[in-house]
Amino acid sequence: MDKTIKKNLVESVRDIALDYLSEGGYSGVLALRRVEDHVEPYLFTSPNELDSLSISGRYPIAGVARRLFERWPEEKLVVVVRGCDERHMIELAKKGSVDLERVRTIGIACSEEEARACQCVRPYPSRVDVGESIGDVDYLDHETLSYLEGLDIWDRRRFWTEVFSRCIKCYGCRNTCPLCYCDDCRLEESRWVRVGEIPPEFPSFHLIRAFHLADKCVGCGACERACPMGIPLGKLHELVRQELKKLFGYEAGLNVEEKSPLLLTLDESPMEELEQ
Amino acid sequence: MKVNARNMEGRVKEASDFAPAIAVFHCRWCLPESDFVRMLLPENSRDRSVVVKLNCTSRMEAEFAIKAFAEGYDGVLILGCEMGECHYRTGNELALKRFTLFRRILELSGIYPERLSFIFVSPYDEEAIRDKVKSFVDDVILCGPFKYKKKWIKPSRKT
Amino acid sequence: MEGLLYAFLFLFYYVSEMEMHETYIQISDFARELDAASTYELDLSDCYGCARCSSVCKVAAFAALDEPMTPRALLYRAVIGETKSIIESPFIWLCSGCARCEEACPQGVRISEVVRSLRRLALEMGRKNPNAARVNERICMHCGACVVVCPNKAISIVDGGPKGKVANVDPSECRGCGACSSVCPNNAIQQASLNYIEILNMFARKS
Repeated sequence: MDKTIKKNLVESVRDIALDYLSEGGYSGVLALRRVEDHVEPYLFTSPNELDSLSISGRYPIAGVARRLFERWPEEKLVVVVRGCDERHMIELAKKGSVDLERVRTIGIACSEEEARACQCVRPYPSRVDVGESIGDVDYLDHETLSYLEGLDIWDRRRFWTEVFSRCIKCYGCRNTCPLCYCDDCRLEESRWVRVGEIPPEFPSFHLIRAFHLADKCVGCGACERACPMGIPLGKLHELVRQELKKLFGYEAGLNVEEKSPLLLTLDESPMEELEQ
Repeated sequence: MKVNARNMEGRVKEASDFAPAIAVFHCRWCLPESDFVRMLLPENSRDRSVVVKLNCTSRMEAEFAIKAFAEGYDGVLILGCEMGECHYRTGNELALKRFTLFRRILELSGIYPERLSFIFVSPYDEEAIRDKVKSFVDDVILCGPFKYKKKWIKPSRKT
Repeated sequence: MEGLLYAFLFLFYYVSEMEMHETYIQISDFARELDAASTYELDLSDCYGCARCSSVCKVAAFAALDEPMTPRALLYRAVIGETKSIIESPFIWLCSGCARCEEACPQGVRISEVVRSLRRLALEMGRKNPNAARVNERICMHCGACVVVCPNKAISIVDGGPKGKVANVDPSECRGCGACSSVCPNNAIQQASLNYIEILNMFARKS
């Protein structure tokens, strides 16, 4: 990445953040902060902290925003978002966990390298304040996806059995996903998933998660990045997203008024292929 | 029918050897008596199968089906009212959407989607129920027993 | 002479009219209460007992109650004021408001509205809706999925509960279909008559 361009983007973000902080009325700017050799989410409240604001590195920051609003629902917040972060916020707003009236965004468009690294198709937020949007692209890992779709059913079973048997139930996928936020998560309840078993019984753990997130997943890939065992979770969720697109023409995170098709009747949200 | 004779989950010597364990979930308005369905299952399956009566098929969660497979049932059958006949007006539409998606997810994870079936029945037509349940049980027998060999597999170098 | 005849006939007619009114069944106070509890005008005396409503009612046909109840029987008992048997019958809680009875009724009696009034009166008397959904306020994440999916629009998100907002069920509108329970991500809303633990226990095996 060209250092000068990167530096200019960060400077632009810091300038806009400074404007918001000077304007007042916001509890702070939620963004990533560089600390020694890593980045972490941080709520910038005063202008002299802004020097450490960083936009390198990916982090699903919408989860932090949700927790802030849970604790202080009356405050207003400025959030630095990329395309996927904004889609997370829209999905959270559909659930009433985030009030979009109280949020101001600083939108960053991802570069081609960043989009390629994330296997993204929509690397831009709805309003781009910093950076140049490269538009709709397709950097999905089609090799793996078409390989999976081309497999016969028993080879597919062998593939997923092998990858899921690496699971150590660290809950990293669930903890990092901004849309997986139930305090009393089913995956921790012994009635749904047996406690103390590694790997967790198939298909309980992963299929429950895949089904719960079917109409909420925006395809950010944070779960796959978080998994310490290299399980290709993102591919499974991407395949489920494609099924939802095929059946109901629905994509999560685009429009806050659009309700999930799994909650609506056939009149309100028709199904393309009615098969049993 | 996409089920192939060679299946990875188990070897079935003859169809008559295998008595599948079926979990049936039905709504109380399309089928007031659970025993009627129980009697439609093969004789040697009846002890291993279970019939659950719900108020409406919209109560049926996909997670129940996941749990049924994890507990060792070979097939999950859902019986609901026909379109337009749901006692709660639109409950069966919700369930149909949910289970159409869920069958696709099962197929993506490598489980035969024929193991899960959503059948519309009417309490006035017993013959149709009989035929549909029989064809579902035959499909499950062809799929074979649902087994998951659980072992700790060392992660290979290439992912 | 003729005048006397007419006077006598008039008197005879008048007295017999009075007598005929005496033999009509009086609309009970309870039926008047039902009319008052409803937003619609309910004239139960329109019913002449053809039982077309009972022939299309699913609850009458398939609910298999210990004490059978049909819409016609319910109307009759409401008219004569026998309140105990209909208030205590599970019929009013199993009715889903599908209104097939209203469609079938040739007299236009709003039978499903009668049942709705009965439910309100029963709740006022302290009886409970046994199929109603109940929210576990401690774990409800107020995501609103149940609100969207309820076919009777019985659920709303209100202020309250340990997380600030919580789902709330109106027991007079809830018909017990269970759609809300199936979409709740962490099983916070369940039917009082059958919750997810009971369902799981039904098919749990030691395998």
